[in-house]
Amino acid sequence: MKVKESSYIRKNKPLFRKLVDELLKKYEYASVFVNDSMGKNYGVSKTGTNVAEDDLYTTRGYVVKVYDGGCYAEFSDNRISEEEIDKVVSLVSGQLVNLGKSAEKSQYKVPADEAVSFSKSTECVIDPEEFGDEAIVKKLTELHKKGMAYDEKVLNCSVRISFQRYSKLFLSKNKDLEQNVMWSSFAASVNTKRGSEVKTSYYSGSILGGMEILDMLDEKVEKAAKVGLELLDSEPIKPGEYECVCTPEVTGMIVHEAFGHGVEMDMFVKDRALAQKYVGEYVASPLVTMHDGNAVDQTATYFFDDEGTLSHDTVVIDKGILVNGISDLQSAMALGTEPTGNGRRESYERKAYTRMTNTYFEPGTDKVEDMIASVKDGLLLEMPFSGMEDPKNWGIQCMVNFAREIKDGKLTGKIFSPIVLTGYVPDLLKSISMMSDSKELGGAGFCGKGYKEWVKVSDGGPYIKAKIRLG
Amino acid sequence: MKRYIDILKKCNVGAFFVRDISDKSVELFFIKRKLDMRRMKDDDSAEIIVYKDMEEDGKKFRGSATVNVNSTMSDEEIEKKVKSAEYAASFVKNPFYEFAKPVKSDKRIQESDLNNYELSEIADKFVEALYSEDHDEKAFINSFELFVKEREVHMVSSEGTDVSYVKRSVWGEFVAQCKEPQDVETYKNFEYDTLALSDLKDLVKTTLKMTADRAIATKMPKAGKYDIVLADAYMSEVFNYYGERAHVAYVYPGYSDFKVGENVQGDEIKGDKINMKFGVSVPFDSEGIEMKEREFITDGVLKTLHGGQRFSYYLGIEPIGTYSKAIMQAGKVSMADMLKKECLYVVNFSDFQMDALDGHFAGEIRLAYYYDGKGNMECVTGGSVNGSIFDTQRELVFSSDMQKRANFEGPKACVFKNVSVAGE
Repeated sequence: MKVKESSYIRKNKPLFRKLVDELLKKYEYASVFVNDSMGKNYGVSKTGTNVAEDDLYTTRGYVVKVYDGGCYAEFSDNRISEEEIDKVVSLVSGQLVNLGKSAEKSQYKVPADEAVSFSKSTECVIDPEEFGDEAIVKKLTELHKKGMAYDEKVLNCSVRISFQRYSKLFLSKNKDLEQNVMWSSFAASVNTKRGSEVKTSYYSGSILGGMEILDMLDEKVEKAAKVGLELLDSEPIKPGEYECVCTPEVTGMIVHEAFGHGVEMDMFVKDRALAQKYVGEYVASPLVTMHDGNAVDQTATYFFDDEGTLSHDTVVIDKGILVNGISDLQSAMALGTEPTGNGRRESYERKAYTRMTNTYFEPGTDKVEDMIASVKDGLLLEMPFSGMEDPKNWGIQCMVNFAREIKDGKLTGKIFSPIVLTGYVPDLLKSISMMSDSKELGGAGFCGKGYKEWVKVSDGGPYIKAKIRLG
Repeated sequence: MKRYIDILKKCNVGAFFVRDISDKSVELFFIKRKLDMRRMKDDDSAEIIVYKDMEEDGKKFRGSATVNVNSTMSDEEIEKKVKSAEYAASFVKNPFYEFAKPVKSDKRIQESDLNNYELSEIADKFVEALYSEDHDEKAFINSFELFVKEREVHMVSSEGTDVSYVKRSVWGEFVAQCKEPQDVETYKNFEYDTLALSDLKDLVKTTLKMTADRAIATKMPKAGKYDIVLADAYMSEVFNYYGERAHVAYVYPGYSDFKVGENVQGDEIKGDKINMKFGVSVPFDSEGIEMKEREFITDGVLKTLHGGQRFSYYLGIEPIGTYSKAIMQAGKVSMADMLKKECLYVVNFSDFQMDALDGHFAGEIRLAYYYDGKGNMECVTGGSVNGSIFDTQRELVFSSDMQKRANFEGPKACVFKNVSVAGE
């Protein structure tokens, strides 16, 4: 079924159109972006049951954007009425455009505002609101109990489901765009304890859709519990360079953190990305082709971005050569390129930045078992924990939960934890020598720009084999 | 607020808690010295928690569910949300707990010199302060984002809590860049609840110097064990471990063994003992519990747990609220003396993580100063630190130099001995 539209947007659309029209009387360009979203978190763990709308997922409001003095200004609000239109127009001209008056301003053109109009929705099989809170909690409670019963050493088993249904409206002089989208995600985590040290094992997943995701959860709880126990016997790793096979989740973290952030073109505008100097050059093994965008159905699939640019499938690396970055509207204007539909906001309350969407490597032709068999003395890296971008210097800062030892092409059963990946991004990407024949994407988490601006993304790819410096 | 309470009463909700938040902000975004975007915000939102008491097989339960609303919603929409929360709460079978004692208070305006100015005036002052230090020959400000915020919070519960406060704060981030001999950058963020213009100027000055130093750093540290010096935000990040482990949400499920009256710094402490207080960053926590300065750790011995009403009740202690600000006693060694001994002083990580569950702290080194103990210093870059608080907490050395941040006041730096470093 199609994801349902927002009655709030439907009812107030004429007022938002009037607001844009009033602003257009004063400014060469004006737009309004409206967001009405509702999302819930469900969790069952030893600490109890939680059912709560999430304040990041559940927002309702709008942002107006105007072009004044060669530069842009925005006002975020959530009240809309005939009277409010006058107030907003007066605040924009009386206060907003006068902020930072003594500062020299960046100079931009007025954006191309091609006439486009549509209303589109993604699909979901089971609508969470119809499925009901009770059924979701019942399923999670069963899974929690299953995880706790796996072994007496399990300290806690936490199972969580989240979903968000969002409706967005973008209006400018020539654009009238509406979209209704739903994503769902889950995570199963298990804690075990060794002395004071608490080990965490988790698996997660996500879809563009609704509660049909519940079918994916069962096996993940058992898997998380098994790994949680294995982690109790883990050892610290000896720092050094290793031949590594990465699971699709770890590949996703490398794609996203190590390389993806570096091709966000607002970083090009600020002279903060080394990638800008490498467009047209080899930055990875010829086995590597990397995408960002709407060619897959995942948590960051949408029809238009938060600045009214239609979404794209952008090929970032083509057979090892960096061919394109991704951009928001303002960065594209500054660089004289075409926007790629990557202008995203944490919410209507925040500025738009260039952000990734669904970012992944295309699969190769190898079998996973052949990849492991080809490693004489190395590691299988699993369970990404965290990562941080370094677009300026392409330094790698990623952490994974653990690594399994491989000797003479076989897993020995020994595991090391935690693992810090370090080194230089192109060195890692150029060292990729094998890629498995299928890809997996996941988007259970959020991506920040630095330490803020959280947006939903997904990432992934195939298993890859590469040389990586570990600590 | 009144509308939400009227609807809750109309829906016959017995127990509830409403947290109504109004936010205003002025935001400025610069690239180099040019203003790239101006923004303002003025909106509101509220969180409504609905509670439901139940009994099954002689056991008492208290369920709850949370919905988010705002003033743009119609009464019918809010009513529908409240009813759905009441329904959801009826199958959230958490063991019974008592609510925290209700608190009533007049609106509190957090004292600050920020209150003397319009938000836009405060923004202008911080912009001027930041760029006043941007005159280094090599390193310069690449970009800067500034958020001047005013938040008003009003909390009302069915049990009689009715408190509110207004707080202003300034949050920002900037990137310093140096192009020669290597093109490098340093990211820094800051948060102040006063007009701390001179603190910002110091931060900018230090960051520009650090960035110029990184531009000449080419070598990785040699792999091995080092006495690591962590300072400023990294220092406070490590000591968040104790605040997290002392939270009732960590203690109740058994993630943490912290017990009041017991030593939480390990046995046979050879180094400095930890002395820490909880400080007040907002007058009331998110459950309306009044916050006040409290003893937290004295000579390594835990004086109190902290946290919300549910887990506190389960643990049989009085809920004192969740504290996010720590005030720590100074050490005896000056930073200058600290750096006379052989050590690796890491001043910039690409990201630094302290995991309170497994006790590890780690990060990739963007810039560190290696002091050889013989008066020589070398800038190094690359490699990573991978340490454990369990292995290092018995032999800490705190600096006598102090730092003051929004959520931490205490020693500027600390030595962590014998920490593993990946490098050449």
